[in-house]
Amino acid sequence: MRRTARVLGTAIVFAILMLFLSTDAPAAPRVRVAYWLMADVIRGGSNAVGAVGVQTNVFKQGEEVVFRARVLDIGNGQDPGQQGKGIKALQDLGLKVTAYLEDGQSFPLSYGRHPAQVQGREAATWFWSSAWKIPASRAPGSVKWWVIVTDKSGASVRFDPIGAGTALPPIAIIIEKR
Amino acid sequence: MRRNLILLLCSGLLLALPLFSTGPASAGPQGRLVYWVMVDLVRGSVQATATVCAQTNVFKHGEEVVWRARVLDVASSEDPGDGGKNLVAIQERGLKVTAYLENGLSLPLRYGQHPGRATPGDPVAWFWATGWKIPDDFPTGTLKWWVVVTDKTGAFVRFDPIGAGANLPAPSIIVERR
Repeated sequence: MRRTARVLGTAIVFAILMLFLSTDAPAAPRVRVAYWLMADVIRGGSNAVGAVGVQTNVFKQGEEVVFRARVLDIGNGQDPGQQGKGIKALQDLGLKVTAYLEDGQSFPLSYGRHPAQVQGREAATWFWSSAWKIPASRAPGSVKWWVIVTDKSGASVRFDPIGAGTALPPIAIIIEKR
Repeated sequence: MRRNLILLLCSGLLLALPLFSTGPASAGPQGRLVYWVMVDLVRGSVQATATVCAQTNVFKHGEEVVWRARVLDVASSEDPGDGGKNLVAIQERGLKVTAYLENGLSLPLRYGQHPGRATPGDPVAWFWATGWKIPDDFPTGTLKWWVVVTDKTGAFVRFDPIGAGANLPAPSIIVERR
């Protein structure tokens, strides 16, 4: 009986030891990116003085800044919204994408099809977007921006345009007189 | 004796159990993204007809398209080059970042400090960049582009601008007459 207890005890100790040694989790980095986030700004169609829908960070007063973001699950490289087929999955994840301006404004991005109206077999894609119409009275200058993705699990990923926080020329949105 | 044998078998099972539990962490999905790649285009200083270093995808003949890429290890969300302090790590990984144009042209990006000549004390950023001067006789129109990141382990991450593959004006480089 005593021998049996000893064998059993040894086995349990070994098992616990193996649990600690074999799992990868403790060795994994603490900071793990949950989403692959890419964002840019393009000129919207409202009051545009330049080409519409093109990438730019230089805008005139009254023009529309459109924030666009692509969010992929880092685990499988796929769009959690499955190109419009997984809207419920987005809701289940509680995925939220928000653009922020340094003046305190924030713009929730919505997940949608682009172009919104397609004809026939025209190709479309799904991503996140939102727009900010620059007030005509807005003072010229620059305004920093960034985008944050969050979900129900507490994941939070921030995107800053390349070169943000450096002495590089115009990383922020630049507003010029019309 | 028989009892001990059963106990030993149970112990063996207990020992083997943790080995099965590590499966998902070590294998990972096949499509797992190893690098978080962010890319944009800015106007270079060569024969620029508008704001230099501003984000754009519309260029005139003779202007310079500059690709800028930030590559982060998704496991740590850190720049493998550690902001220029660990160039050896980039070599050891065999990290390569290349921009491709649909006309067959490919341009390797280099990891460097930006601005290149910063005044001491000025904040700088380290990222990947390359430039392409559009020949004066280059056909006007649109030109698709993408960026690929590879390393020695066989990792392969492709970045396409938001909206690529759809009927949207933004993704391609637009070349116009000067």
